[in-house]
Amino acid sequence: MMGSDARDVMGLPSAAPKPATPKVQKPKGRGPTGMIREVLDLKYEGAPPISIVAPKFKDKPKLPFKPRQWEETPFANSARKDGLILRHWRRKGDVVNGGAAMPVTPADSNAASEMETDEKAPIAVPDAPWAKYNVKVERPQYTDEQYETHLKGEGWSKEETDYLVDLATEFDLRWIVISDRYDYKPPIQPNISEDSMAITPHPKTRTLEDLKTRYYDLAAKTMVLHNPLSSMSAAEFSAHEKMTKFDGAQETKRKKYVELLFARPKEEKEEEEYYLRELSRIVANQEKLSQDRKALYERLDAAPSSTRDSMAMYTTSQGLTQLMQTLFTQNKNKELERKGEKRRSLLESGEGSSHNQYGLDRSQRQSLSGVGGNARLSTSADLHSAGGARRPLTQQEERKYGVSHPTERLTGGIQFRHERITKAGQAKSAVQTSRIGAALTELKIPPRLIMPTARVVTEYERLIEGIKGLLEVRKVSEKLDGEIRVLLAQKELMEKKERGEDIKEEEGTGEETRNQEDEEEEAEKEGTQNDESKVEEDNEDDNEDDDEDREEKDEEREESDDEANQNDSDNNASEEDADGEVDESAMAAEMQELQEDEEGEAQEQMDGDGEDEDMEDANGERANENDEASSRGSAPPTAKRSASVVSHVSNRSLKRQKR
Amino acid sequence: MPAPTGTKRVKGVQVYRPFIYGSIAKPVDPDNRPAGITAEHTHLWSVYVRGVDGEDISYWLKKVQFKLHETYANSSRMIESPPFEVTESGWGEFEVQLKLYFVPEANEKAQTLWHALKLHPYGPDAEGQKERRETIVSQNYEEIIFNEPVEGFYDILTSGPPQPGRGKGSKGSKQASTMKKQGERSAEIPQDTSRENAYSVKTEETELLRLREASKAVEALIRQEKGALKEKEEKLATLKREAEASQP
Repeated sequence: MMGSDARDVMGLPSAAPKPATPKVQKPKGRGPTGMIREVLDLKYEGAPPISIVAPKFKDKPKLPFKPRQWEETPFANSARKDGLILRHWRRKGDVVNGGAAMPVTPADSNAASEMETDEKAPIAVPDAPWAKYNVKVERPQYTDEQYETHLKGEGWSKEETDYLVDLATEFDLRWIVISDRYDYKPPIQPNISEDSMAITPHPKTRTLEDLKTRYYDLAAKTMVLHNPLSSMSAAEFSAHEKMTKFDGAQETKRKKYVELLFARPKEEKEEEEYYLRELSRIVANQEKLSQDRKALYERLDAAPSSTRDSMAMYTTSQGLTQLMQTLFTQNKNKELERKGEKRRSLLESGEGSSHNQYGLDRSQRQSLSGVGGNARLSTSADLHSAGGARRPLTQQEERKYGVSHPTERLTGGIQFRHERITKAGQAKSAVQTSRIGAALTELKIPPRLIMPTARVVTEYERLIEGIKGLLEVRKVSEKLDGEIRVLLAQKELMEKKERGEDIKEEEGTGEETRNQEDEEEEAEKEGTQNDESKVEEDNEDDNEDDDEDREEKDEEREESDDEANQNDSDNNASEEDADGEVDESAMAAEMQELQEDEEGEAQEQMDGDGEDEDMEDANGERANENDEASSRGSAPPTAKRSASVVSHVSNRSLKRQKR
Repeated sequence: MPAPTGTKRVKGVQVYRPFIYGSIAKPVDPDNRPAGITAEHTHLWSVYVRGVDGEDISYWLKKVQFKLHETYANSSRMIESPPFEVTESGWGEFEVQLKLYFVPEANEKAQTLWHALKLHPYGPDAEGQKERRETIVSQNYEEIIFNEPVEGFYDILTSGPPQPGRGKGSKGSKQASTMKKQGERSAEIPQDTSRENAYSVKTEETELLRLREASKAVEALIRQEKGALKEKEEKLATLKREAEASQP
């Protein structure tokens, strides 16, 4: 205890826990009370001059917890090669996460035994937490062969490269140190004589950038050699990227700039500061100006909309900027006018393109004063004023630089020329689009043009327009076809009716006896049957259509669609007339012929290939079938058919009577 | 108050520049495989963006990002200086996304193009090409249109050869050969096709001729159709008359 030591020094008895010396001599009875002790002391001699106060130390603070313990812990340093174990204070129980534990070999512990005698067995000593900062450069490895094939550099010998790599590894890529220590002396060949010594090139002085460029180039290449680009990890890849992107020349330039900046005289510095101050002042002013402008906008916005819709153009921000610009140019023009005629004439002669700039401005001013602005006018004025500011290009130059002034409205930005081709080929409906596409394939125009230049695109658009026109004409013609077919069918029916009566007269031996009422009943009965047969026939028609579809190209799909429609409409027509399906077969035959003729024509027009021959064959077959059908129709082989004919004819006559 | 410089556009002006994007692929010779290629990779290919006939386009194109198939390591490759190309090996075809970044003066957003990488021969004589292990080139001519470019960029586009000193460093001798026409900054294309360049005024003429012939064919068809239409109309009219006459 410290307290006892002090007591020893002062020669006080250490045994006594507390000296019994009275702290204050009680002056009781010695004098009148009420006197201060010191005064009493002066009066009565013999009293001890000072009170002896036993030295007393502060009590130990009573802490509510137990203080944590610290202990000396050994640690190893992986950066050291001698395995020296040092200790330092560390809180007890702290987990050391500074790195992998390093087992200490007995030899190491012997070496460290001077410091810690109690260590007997090799225990795991944790690595120092800062050992992770000891990063070693991975030395680019290469063989002589690899060097010869891939790594040769201009003005670098293999020896010098090796030397550089050695230095770089030794100094951990601290380039300043490396360039400082760089002192390569080419080896002197032993067989070189005295005179040839004179022509040995003087060792080049390498700048820091030279060294860096060479080293990075080498390292990047060896990286790729050991590990191809595709199998690199992201970190490796980025390292590689960085190394390949190193540009020594740029680095030199940068340093030169920095040096210049550093060495510039005081005046220049002051000047720059002055400019910066000016700039900040201007920026501040601009803020104020923009605020003013905002206020102006607000006032414009709040203006009564009594002047019709003329304000509409100023309600958008774009319109406002436009207005602002016109006001601005107006201001400028006023100034110009003030400056006199001379300058104006000069300007006018200078820009031939902006022919009536002043005329425009005047009208603009009028329009502005009346707030009856015309957006088109102001934009064209903008165009001129903007165009005037640029260097006018000759036509030749315009062609050379690909500059054009399209008439349609432009929106700023980027476009690819081929976009317009894709856009041109697209119609409103998907069907139309596919038709156009089919027509293009028919014409052997690929969907992706080889050279989408401006001229080609214009031509292409014209072609598409033509195709659209063609499709339109075809549509109309098909509609007409449909109408013609209906009328023809009607006409046919009329003839058939007359012929049908003939049939009735010729073949109606048994049936003739039937009376009208029976026939009516029969008609009702047959009606259902006929419906069935009609369905059958429809199916037949559909099948035929399908066959055609398969034969035809996509291009003619529309026709088959329409055909189906027409069949429907035909059916409708026949239903309207409530006439015979017997006739319909004949009718269908005729229709088919008609249609197929047209198709054949279309086919011939579209392509002169052998495909139309096939078509004709198919047509021929179908025509035969139809002939049969028609013959059946004209001379029904079964009694049932003839019966139905009779019934229908009679039906029809009934209807007529009703009419 | 004029707009701050760099954002003001030159009104009513359109400037275009031709360029080519595409890919070139070469089958790997199984007997003589270059080192560093994975065993299942069958082709060596490059995908690129470049000027027509080796023209320098770096004055408007700053960098190109090639987005390869995700199975490639570092599938997004940013190429920041010409030649804008990525060379890889592989076995499969896929769509490469090309993102074109423009020079800062242009003040334009990056644009995306897609290119389907072609490794295998297509078109007629595909088998023969396969047999001969021919190099497969699949490329597109394209024109980029700058609508109303900003003033600074317009000046760049319409100025002649670049000012000396704008060149960027000495990046190696191999670039010098690809940029043999660095002085040119025009939108013009060569007059005639050459062995290494298929796009020229001549090709354009052929294309135009083809389109014009197609147009002519279409016009002829329209004429024919119109003639037929007239006949039909007449036929229809007569039929209608007949029908009316026969109707009670």
